[in-house]
Amino acid sequence: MAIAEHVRDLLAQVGLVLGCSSELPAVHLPNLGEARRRPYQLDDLIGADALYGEIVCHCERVTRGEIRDALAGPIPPRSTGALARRTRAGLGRCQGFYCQAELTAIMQSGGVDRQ
Amino acid sequence: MKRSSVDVLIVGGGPAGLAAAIELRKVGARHVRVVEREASAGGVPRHSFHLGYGLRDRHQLLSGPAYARSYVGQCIELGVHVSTSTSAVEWCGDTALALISAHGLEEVQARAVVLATGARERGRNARGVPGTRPAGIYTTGALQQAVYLYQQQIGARAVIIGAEHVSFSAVMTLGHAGVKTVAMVTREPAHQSYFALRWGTAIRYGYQLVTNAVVVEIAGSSRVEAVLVRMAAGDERRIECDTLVFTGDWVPDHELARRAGLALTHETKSPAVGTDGMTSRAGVYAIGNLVLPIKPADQCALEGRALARVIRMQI
Repeated sequence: MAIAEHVRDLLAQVGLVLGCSSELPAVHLPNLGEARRRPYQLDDLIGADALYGEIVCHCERVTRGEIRDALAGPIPPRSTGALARRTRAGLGRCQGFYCQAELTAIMQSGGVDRQ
Repeated sequence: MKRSSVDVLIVGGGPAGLAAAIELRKVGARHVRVVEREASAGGVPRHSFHLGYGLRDRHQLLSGPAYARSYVGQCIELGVHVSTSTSAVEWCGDTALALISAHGLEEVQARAVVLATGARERGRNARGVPGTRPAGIYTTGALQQAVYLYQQQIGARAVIIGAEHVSFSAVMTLGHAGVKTVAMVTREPAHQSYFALRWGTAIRYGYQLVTNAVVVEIAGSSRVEAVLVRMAAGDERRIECDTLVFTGDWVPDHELARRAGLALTHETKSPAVGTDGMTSRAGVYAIGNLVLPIKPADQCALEGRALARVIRMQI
Protein backbone atom coordinates (compact mmCIF):
# COMPACT_ATOMS: atom_id res chain seq x y z
CA MET A 1 0.00 0.00 0.00
CA ALA A 2 2.83 2.36 0.89
CA ILE A 3 4.53 1.59 -2.44
CA ALA A 4 1.25 2.24 -4.26
CA GLU A 5 0.95 5.60 -2.56
CA HIS A 6 4.58 6.43 -3.42
CA VAL A 7 3.96 5.52 -7.08
CA ARG A 8 0.81 7.66 -7.07
CA ASP A 9 2.86 10.63 -5.84
CA LEU A 10 5.56 9.99 -8.46
CA LEU A 11 2.94 9.88 -11.21
CA ALA A 12 1.49 13.17 -10.00
CA GLN A 13 5.01 14.67 -10.00
CA VAL A 14 5.57 13.80 -13.68
CA GLY A 15 2.33 15.54 -14.52
CA LEU A 16 -0.22 12.78 -14.81
CA VAL A 17 -3.70 13.91 -13.79
CA LEU A 18 -4.98 11.10 -11.62
CA GLY A 19 -8.54 12.24 -10.94
CA CYS A 20 -10.59 10.95 -8.04
CA SER A 21 -10.05 7.49 -6.64
CA SER A 22 -12.90 5.15 -7.41
CA GLU A 23 -14.26 2.13 -5.61
CA LEU A 24 -12.57 -1.09 -6.74
CA PRO A 25 -14.78 -3.91 -7.96
CA ALA A 26 -15.47 -6.43 -5.22
CA VAL A 27 -13.36 -9.55 -5.61
CA HIS A 28 -15.60 -12.56 -5.27
CA LEU A 29 -13.80 -15.82 -4.60
CA PRO A 30 -15.49 -18.84 -6.12
CA ASN A 31 -16.12 -21.80 -3.85
CA LEU A 32 -13.47 -24.33 -4.85
CA GLY A 33 -13.39 -26.40 -1.68
CA GLU A 34 -15.65 -29.20 -0.53
CA ALA A 35 -16.52 -27.54 2.80
CA ARG A 36 -19.53 -25.86 1.20
CA ARG A 37 -21.66 -27.22 -1.60
CA ARG A 38 -20.25 -26.77 -5.07
CA PRO A 39 -22.30 -25.40 -7.99
CA TYR A 40 -22.79 -28.86 -9.56
CA GLN A 41 -24.58 -29.99 -6.38
CA LEU A 42 -27.13 -27.17 -6.39
CA ASP A 43 -30.29 -28.16 -8.26
CA ASP A 44 -31.82 -24.65 -7.99
CA LEU A 45 -28.70 -23.01 -9.37
CA ILE A 46 -28.62 -25.43 -12.34
CA GLY A 47 -32.32 -24.77 -12.87
CA ALA A 48 -31.62 -21.04 -13.10
CA ASP A 49 -28.49 -21.44 -15.23
CA ALA A 50 -27.96 -24.75 -17.04
CA LEU A 51 -24.23 -24.14 -17.53
CA TYR A 52 -23.72 -25.04 -13.84
CA GLY A 53 -24.93 -28.53 -14.73
CA GLU A 54 -22.37 -29.14 -17.47
CA ILE A 55 -19.21 -30.57 -16.00
CA VAL A 56 -16.10 -29.85 -18.07
CA CYS A 57 -13.37 -31.05 -15.69
CA HIS A 58 -14.74 -34.32 -14.37
CA CYS A 59 -12.14 -34.99 -11.67
CA GLU A 60 -12.53 -31.62 -9.96
CA ARG A 61 -16.16 -31.29 -11.13
CA VAL A 62 -15.68 -27.84 -12.56
CA THR A 63 -18.70 -26.73 -14.55
CA ARG A 64 -18.94 -24.67 -17.72
CA GLY A 65 -20.71 -21.99 -15.65
CA GLU A 66 -17.78 -21.63 -13.24
CA ILE A 67 -15.34 -21.36 -16.15
CA ARG A 68 -17.52 -18.69 -17.78
CA ASP A 69 -17.57 -16.77 -14.48
CA ALA A 70 -13.77 -16.96 -14.21
CA LEU A 71 -13.38 -15.67 -17.78
CA ALA A 72 -15.69 -12.74 -16.95
CA GLY A 73 -14.02 -12.02 -13.60
CA PRO A 74 -12.21 -8.78 -12.69
CA ILE A 75 -8.84 -10.37 -13.48
CA PRO A 76 -9.58 -12.80 -16.32
CA PRO A 77 -7.21 -15.74 -16.94
CA ARG A 78 -5.05 -15.64 -20.07
CA SER A 79 -3.86 -19.27 -20.10
CA THR A 80 -5.07 -22.71 -19.07
CA GLY A 81 -2.70 -22.49 -16.10
CA ALA A 82 -4.33 -19.25 -14.95
CA LEU A 83 -7.78 -20.77 -15.46
CA ALA A 84 -6.71 -23.77 -13.37
CA ARG A 85 -5.59 -21.54 -10.49
CA ARG A 86 -8.98 -19.81 -10.50
CA THR A 87 -11.24 -22.83 -10.91
CA ARG A 88 -9.08 -25.98 -10.41
CA ALA A 89 -10.08 -27.15 -13.89
CA GLY A 90 -7.49 -29.64 -15.11
CA LEU A 91 -5.81 -30.10 -11.73
CA GLY A 92 -7.49 -33.35 -10.71
CA ARG A 93 -6.31 -36.91 -10.74
CA CYS A 94 -6.33 -37.32 -14.54
CA GLN A 95 -4.30 -34.10 -15.03
CA GLY A 96 -6.08 -33.29 -18.25
CA PHE A 97 -6.37 -36.70 -19.94
CA TYR A 98 -10.08 -36.00 -20.43
CA CYS A 99 -10.37 -32.20 -20.47
CA GLN A 100 -7.04 -30.69 -21.59
CA ALA A 101 -8.15 -30.29 -25.23
CA GLU A 102 -11.46 -28.70 -24.30
CA LEU A 103 -9.86 -26.31 -21.79
CA THR A 104 -7.32 -25.29 -24.45
CA ALA A 105 -10.19 -24.71 -26.90
CA ILE A 106 -12.02 -22.56 -24.35
CA MET A 107 -8.93 -20.42 -23.72
CA GLN A 108 -8.22 -20.07 -27.45
CA SER A 109 -11.76 -18.98 -28.27
CA GLY A 110 -12.19 -16.95 -25.08
CA GLY A 111 -15.64 -18.40 -24.43
CA VAL A 112 -17.29 -21.52 -23.12
CA ASP A 113 -19.58 -22.18 -26.10
CA ARG A 114 -19.27 -25.69 -27.51
CA GLN A 115 -17.47 -25.77 -30.85
CA MET B 1 -34.95 -33.07 -7.83
CA LYS B 2 -36.03 -35.63 -10.42
CA ARG B 3 -36.32 -39.28 -9.48
CA SER B 4 -36.55 -42.19 -11.87
CA SER B 5 -35.95 -45.90 -11.99
CA VAL B 6 -34.52 -48.25 -14.60
CA ASP B 7 -33.75 -51.95 -14.87
CA VAL B 8 -30.07 -51.47 -15.62
CA LEU B 9 -28.03 -48.28 -15.28
CA ILE B 10 -24.73 -48.35 -17.13
CA VAL B 11 -22.12 -45.73 -16.21
CA GLY B 12 -19.82 -45.03 -19.16
CA GLY B 13 -20.74 -45.04 -22.85
CA GLY B 14 -17.60 -46.63 -24.28
CA PRO B 15 -17.43 -49.94 -26.15
CA ALA B 16 -17.98 -52.04 -22.99
CA GLY B 17 -20.96 -50.06 -21.71
CA LEU B 18 -22.68 -49.68 -25.08
CA ALA B 19 -22.18 -53.35 -26.01
CA ALA B 20 -23.67 -54.38 -22.65
CA ALA B 21 -26.66 -52.09 -23.20
CA ILE B 22 -27.30 -53.44 -26.71
CA GLU B 23 -27.11 -57.06 -25.58
CA LEU B 24 -29.35 -56.37 -22.58
CA ARG B 25 -32.03 -55.03 -24.91
CA LYS B 26 -31.60 -58.03 -27.20
CA VAL B 27 -32.13 -60.48 -24.37
CA GLY B 28 -35.21 -58.62 -23.19
CA ALA B 29 -34.26 -56.13 -20.47
CA ARG B 30 -36.85 -53.37 -20.62
CA HIS B 31 -35.39 -50.11 -19.44
CA VAL B 32 -31.65 -49.81 -20.02
CA ARG B 33 -29.99 -46.43 -19.55
CA VAL B 34 -26.42 -45.45 -20.37
CA VAL B 35 -24.89 -42.38 -18.73
CA GLU B 36 -22.03 -40.71 -20.61
CA ARG B 37 -20.32 -37.62 -19.22
CA GLU B 38 -18.85 -36.51 -22.56
CA ALA B 39 -20.95 -34.71 -25.17
CA SER B 40 -21.15 -37.84 -27.32
CA ALA B 41 -21.01 -41.55 -26.53
CA GLY B 42 -18.43 -43.95 -27.97
CA GLY B 43 -15.53 -43.65 -25.55
CA VAL B 44 -11.89 -43.53 -26.60
CA PRO B 45 -12.52 -44.86 -30.19
CA ARG B 46 -14.32 -41.55 -30.90
CA HIS B 47 -10.99 -39.80 -31.15
CA SER B 48 -8.79 -42.64 -32.38
CA PHE B 49 -9.01 -42.17 -36.14
CA HIS B 50 -6.85 -44.98 -37.43
CA LEU B 51 -8.01 -48.45 -38.45
CA GLY B 52 -7.85 -51.41 -36.09
CA TYR B 53 -11.27 -51.53 -34.44
CA GLY B 54 -14.05 -54.10 -34.63
CA LEU B 55 -12.19 -57.27 -35.63
CA ARG B 56 -13.33 -59.52 -32.80
CA ASP B 57 -16.85 -58.18 -32.26
CA ARG B 58 -17.94 -56.70 -35.61
CA HIS B 59 -15.77 -58.94 -37.82
CA GLN B 60 -14.82 -55.84 -39.77
CA LEU B 61 -11.81 -53.54 -39.83
CA LEU B 62 -13.09 -50.11 -38.81
CA SER B 63 -11.64 -46.76 -37.77
CA GLY B 64 -12.28 -45.67 -34.18
CA PRO B 65 -15.02 -43.12 -34.96
CA ALA B 66 -16.81 -45.50 -37.37
CA TYR B 67 -16.68 -48.18 -34.70
CA ALA B 68 -18.05 -45.79 -32.04
CA ARG B 69 -20.83 -44.64 -34.39
CA SER B 70 -21.86 -48.23 -35.11
CA TYR B 71 -22.40 -48.85 -31.40
CA VAL B 72 -24.21 -45.58 -30.75
CA GLY B 73 -26.44 -46.19 -33.78
CA GLN B 74 -27.33 -49.67 -32.63
CA CYS B 75 -28.18 -48.36 -29.15
CA ILE B 76 -30.63 -45.88 -30.64
CA GLU B 77 -32.19 -48.54 -32.89
CA LEU B 78 -32.74 -50.86 -29.95
CA GLY B 79 -34.21 -48.20 -27.69
CA VAL B 80 -31.39 -47.81 -25.20
CA HIS B 81 -31.72 -44.51 -23.35
CA VAL B 82 -28.32 -42.81 -23.78
CA SER B 83 -27.82 -39.65 -21.69
CA THR B 84 -24.76 -37.67 -22.84
CA SER B 85 -23.19 -34.69 -21.02
CA THR B 86 -24.45 -36.37 -17.86
CA SER B 87 -22.20 -37.30 -14.95
CA ALA B 88 -22.87 -39.93 -12.31
CA VAL B 89 -21.37 -38.20 -9.30
CA GLU B 90 -22.51 -39.96 -6.16
CA TRP B 91 -24.26 -43.05 -4.81
CA CYS B 92 -27.62 -42.52 -3.17
CA GLY B 93 -28.39 -46.17 -2.45
CA ASP B 94 -26.86 -49.61 -3.00
CA THR B 95 -27.85 -49.58 -6.66
CA ALA B 96 -28.89 -45.95 -7.06
CA LEU B 97 -26.86 -43.03 -8.38
CA ALA B 98 -27.16 -39.23 -8.48
CA LEU B 99 -26.74 -37.78 -11.97
CA ILE B 100 -25.87 -34.21 -12.93
CA SER B 101 -26.60 -32.59 -16.27
CA ALA B 102 -27.84 -29.30 -17.69
CA HIS B 103 -31.32 -30.57 -16.75
CA GLY B 104 -30.35 -30.58 -13.08
CA LEU B 105 -29.96 -33.30 -10.49
CA GLU B 106 -31.57 -36.67 -10.88
CA GLU B 107 -31.60 -39.75 -8.67
CA VAL B 108 -31.85 -43.00 -10.57
CA GLN B 109 -32.77 -46.21 -8.81
CA ALA B 110 -31.67 -49.31 -10.74
CA ARG B 111 -32.01 -53.03 -10.26
CA ALA B 112 -28.44 -53.43 -11.45
CA VAL B 113 -25.63 -50.90 -11.96
CA VAL B 114 -22.80 -51.55 -14.42
CA LEU B 115 -19.60 -49.56 -13.97
CA ALA B 116 -17.87 -49.18 -17.33
CA THR B 117 -15.87 -46.04 -16.68
CA GLY B 118 -12.73 -47.19 -18.47
CA ALA B 119 -9.15 -46.20 -17.87
CA ARG B 120 -6.86 -43.24 -18.43
CA GLU B 121 -3.15 -42.87 -19.04
CA ARG B 122 -0.85 -41.91 -16.21
CA GLY B 123 0.24 -38.34 -16.76
CA ARG B 124 3.61 -36.73 -16.27
CA ASN B 125 2.99 -35.72 -12.64
CA ALA B 126 1.80 -39.14 -11.51
CA ARG B 127 4.90 -40.68 -13.11
CA GLY B 128 7.06 -38.39 -11.00
CA VAL B 129 8.88 -36.84 -13.95
CA PRO B 130 10.94 -33.84 -12.79
CA GLY B 131 11.57 -30.60 -14.66
CA THR B 132 9.63 -27.51 -15.66
CA ARG B 133 5.94 -27.37 -16.59
CA PRO B 134 5.87 -25.83 -20.06
CA ALA B 135 3.17 -26.11 -22.71
CA GLY B 136 3.41 -29.02 -25.15
CA ILE B 137 2.95 -31.96 -22.76
CA TYR B 138 0.16 -34.42 -23.54
CA THR B 139 -1.16 -37.87 -22.90
CA THR B 140 -2.37 -39.78 -25.98
CA GLY B 141 -5.99 -39.20 -24.96
CA ALA B 142 -5.53 -35.44 -24.64
CA LEU B 143 -3.49 -35.34 -27.86
CA GLN B 144 -6.10 -37.20 -29.90
CA GLN B 145 -8.91 -34.99 -28.65
CA ALA B 146 -6.84 -31.88 -29.46
CA VAL B 147 -6.07 -33.12 -32.97
CA TYR B 148 -9.29 -34.83 -34.03
CA LEU B 149 -12.03 -33.16 -32.02
CA TYR B 150 -10.65 -29.60 -31.86
CA GLN B 151 -8.11 -29.38 -34.75
CA GLN B 152 -5.59 -27.63 -32.51
CA GLN B 153 -1.99 -26.88 -33.52
CA ILE B 154 0.35 -29.27 -31.75
CA GLY B 155 4.00 -28.57 -32.65
CA ALA B 156 6.82 -29.70 -34.94
CA ARG B 157 8.99 -32.31 -33.19
CA ALA B 158 7.62 -34.83 -30.72
CA VAL B 159 9.04 -37.43 -28.35
CA ILE B 160 6.77 -40.25 -27.20
CA ILE B 161 7.24 -41.78 -23.76
CA GLY B 162 6.20 -45.44 -23.60
CA ALA B 163 6.10 -48.15 -26.29
CA GLU B 164 2.75 -49.90 -25.83
CA HIS B 165 0.01 -50.31 -28.46
CA VAL B 166 -1.30 -46.84 -27.70
CA SER B 167 2.13 -45.30 -28.22
CA PHE B 168 1.96 -46.28 -31.89
CA SER B 169 -1.52 -44.78 -32.05
CA ALA B 170 0.12 -41.55 -30.83
CA VAL B 171 2.72 -41.78 -33.63
CA MET B 172 -0.09 -41.95 -36.21
CA THR B 173 -2.01 -39.10 -34.58
CA LEU B 174 1.10 -36.90 -34.57
CA GLY B 175 1.71 -37.78 -38.23
CA HIS B 176 -1.84 -36.72 -39.05
CA ALA B 177 -1.28 -33.40 -37.22
CA GLY B 178 1.91 -32.77 -39.20
CA VAL B 179 4.19 -33.35 -36.22
CA LYS B 180 7.42 -35.29 -36.73
CA THR B 181 7.99 -37.99 -34.12
CA VAL B 182 11.73 -38.04 -33.49
CA ALA B 183 11.94 -40.71 -30.80
CA MET B 184 9.96 -43.17 -28.73
CA VAL B 185 11.45 -43.72 -25.28
CA THR B 186 10.70 -46.73 -23.09
CA ARG B 187 12.21 -47.94 -19.83
CA GLU B 188 11.62 -51.53 -20.99
CA PRO B 189 14.19 -53.48 -23.03
CA ALA B 190 11.81 -53.66 -26.03
CA HIS B 191 8.50 -52.28 -27.28
CA GLN B 192 5.36 -54.11 -26.12
CA SER B 193 3.25 -54.00 -29.26
CA TYR B 194 2.96 -55.88 -32.53
CA PHE B 195 5.97 -56.33 -34.79
CA ALA B 196 3.94 -55.01 -37.75
CA LEU B 197 2.87 -51.88 -35.86
CA ARG B 198 6.43 -51.07 -34.78
CA TRP B 199 7.99 -51.52 -38.22
CA GLY B 200 5.04 -50.16 -40.20
CA THR B 201 5.14 -46.88 -38.28
CA ALA B 202 8.96 -46.83 -38.27
CA ILE B 203 9.06 -47.03 -42.09
CA ARG B 204 6.30 -44.46 -42.54
CA TYR B 205 7.29 -41.97 -39.84
CA GLY B 206 11.01 -42.68 -39.33
CA TYR B 207 11.54 -42.34 -35.59
CA GLN B 208 14.06 -43.94 -33.27
CA LEU B 209 13.08 -46.39 -30.54
CA VAL B 210 15.15 -45.72 -27.41
CA THR B 211 14.96 -48.64 -24.96
CA ASN B 212 16.10 -49.04 -21.35
CA ALA B 213 15.83 -45.30 -20.94
CA VAL B 214 14.23 -43.26 -18.15
CA VAL B 215 13.03 -39.66 -18.45
CA VAL B 216 15.00 -37.60 -15.94
CA GLU B 217 14.02 -34.04 -16.89
CA ILE B 218 11.76 -31.92 -19.03
CA ALA B 219 13.44 -28.70 -20.18
CA GLY B 220 11.82 -25.49 -21.41
CA SER B 221 10.14 -22.46 -19.84
CA SER B 222 7.02 -21.50 -21.79
CA ARG B 223 7.29 -24.33 -24.34
CA VAL B 224 8.96 -27.76 -24.15
CA GLU B 225 12.51 -27.48 -25.52
CA ALA B 226 13.99 -30.88 -24.83
CA VAL B 227 13.69 -34.04 -22.80
CA LEU B 228 16.61 -35.58 -20.91
CA VAL B 229 16.76 -39.36 -20.68
CA ARG B 230 19.14 -41.58 -18.75
CA MET B 231 20.32 -44.67 -20.60
CA ALA B 232 20.99 -48.07 -19.02
CA ALA B 233 24.75 -47.40 -18.92
CA GLY B 234 24.12 -44.28 -16.85
CA ASP B 235 24.87 -41.69 -19.52
CA GLU B 236 22.31 -38.98 -20.22
CA ARG B 237 20.97 -37.98 -23.60
CA ARG B 238 19.19 -34.76 -24.51
CA ILE B 239 16.53 -35.01 -27.22
CA GLU B 240 15.37 -31.70 -28.68
CA CYS B 241 11.60 -31.52 -29.12
CA ASP B 242 8.64 -29.16 -28.63
CA THR B 243 6.03 -31.81 -27.83
CA LEU B 244 6.05 -34.66 -25.33
CA VAL B 245 3.41 -37.39 -25.26
CA PHE B 246 3.13 -39.66 -22.23
CA THR B 247 1.48 -42.85 -23.45
CA GLY B 248 0.07 -45.95 -21.81
CA ASP B 249 0.73 -46.84 -18.16
CA TRP B 250 -3.03 -47.13 -17.70
CA VAL B 251 -4.95 -46.39 -14.51
CA PRO B 252 -8.57 -47.47 -14.04
CA ASP B 253 -10.99 -44.57 -13.60
CA HIS B 254 -12.39 -46.04 -10.40
CA GLU B 255 -13.86 -42.99 -8.67
CA LEU B 256 -17.39 -44.41 -8.31
CA ALA B 257 -16.08 -47.80 -7.21
CA ARG B 258 -14.00 -46.10 -4.53
CA ARG B 259 -16.87 -43.91 -3.38
CA ALA B 260 -18.99 -47.04 -2.99
CA GLY B 261 -16.25 -48.64 -0.92
CA LEU B 262 -16.09 -51.63 -3.27
CA ALA B 263 -13.24 -54.10 -2.76
CA LEU B 264 -10.37 -53.15 -5.08
CA THR B 265 -7.67 -55.40 -6.48
CA HIS B 266 -4.24 -54.98 -5.02
CA GLU B 267 -2.41 -54.67 -8.36
CA THR B 268 -4.37 -52.10 -10.34
CA LYS B 269 -6.91 -50.77 -7.80
CA SER B 270 -9.69 -51.91 -10.12
CA PRO B 271 -12.91 -53.12 -8.51
CA ALA B 272 -12.50 -56.82 -7.73
CA VAL B 273 -15.04 -58.87 -9.66
CA GLY B 274 -16.13 -62.48 -9.60
CA THR B 275 -16.53 -64.71 -12.66
CA ASP B 276 -20.03 -63.25 -13.11
CA GLY B 277 -18.65 -59.70 -13.26
CA MET B 278 -20.20 -58.71 -9.93
CA THR B 279 -18.23 -56.48 -7.56
CA SER B 280 -18.21 -56.86 -3.78
CA ARG B 281 -21.64 -55.18 -3.68
CA ALA B 282 -24.60 -57.23 -4.90
CA GLY B 283 -26.18 -55.76 -8.01
CA VAL B 284 -23.14 -53.66 -8.94
CA TYR B 285 -21.03 -54.96 -11.83
CA ALA B 286 -17.83 -53.76 -13.46
CA ILE B 287 -16.54 -54.40 -16.97
CA GLY B 288 -14.12 -53.24 -19.64
CA ASN B 289 -10.96 -51.33 -18.96
CA LEU B 290 -12.10 -50.34 -15.49
CA VAL B 291 -11.35 -53.98 -14.66
CA LEU B 292 -7.73 -54.77 -15.46
CA PRO B 293 -6.57 -52.09 -17.93
CA ILE B 294 -5.77 -52.15 -20.77
CA LYS B 295 -7.63 -54.25 -23.32
CA PRO B 296 -8.56 -53.55 -26.94
CA ALA B 297 -11.99 -51.95 -27.51
CA ASP B 298 -13.44 -55.04 -29.20
CA GLN B 299 -12.49 -57.22 -26.26
CA CYS B 300 -14.20 -54.79 -23.87
CA ALA B 301 -17.30 -54.94 -26.07
CA LEU B 302 -17.30 -58.75 -25.96
CA GLU B 303 -17.03 -58.56 -22.16
CA GLY B 304 -20.02 -56.22 -22.15
CA ARG B 305 -22.05 -58.65 -24.21
CA ALA B 306 -21.22 -61.58 -21.93
CA LEU B 307 -22.07 -59.58 -18.81
CA ALA B 308 -25.44 -58.59 -20.26
CA ARG B 309 -26.51 -62.24 -20.37
CA VAL B 310 -25.43 -62.76 -16.75
CA ILE B 311 -27.35 -59.68 -15.59
CA ARG B 312 -30.45 -60.74 -17.50
CA MET B 313 -30.53 -63.97 -15.50
CA GLN B 314 -30.15 -62.14 -12.20
CA ILE B 315 -32.69 -59.31 -12.53
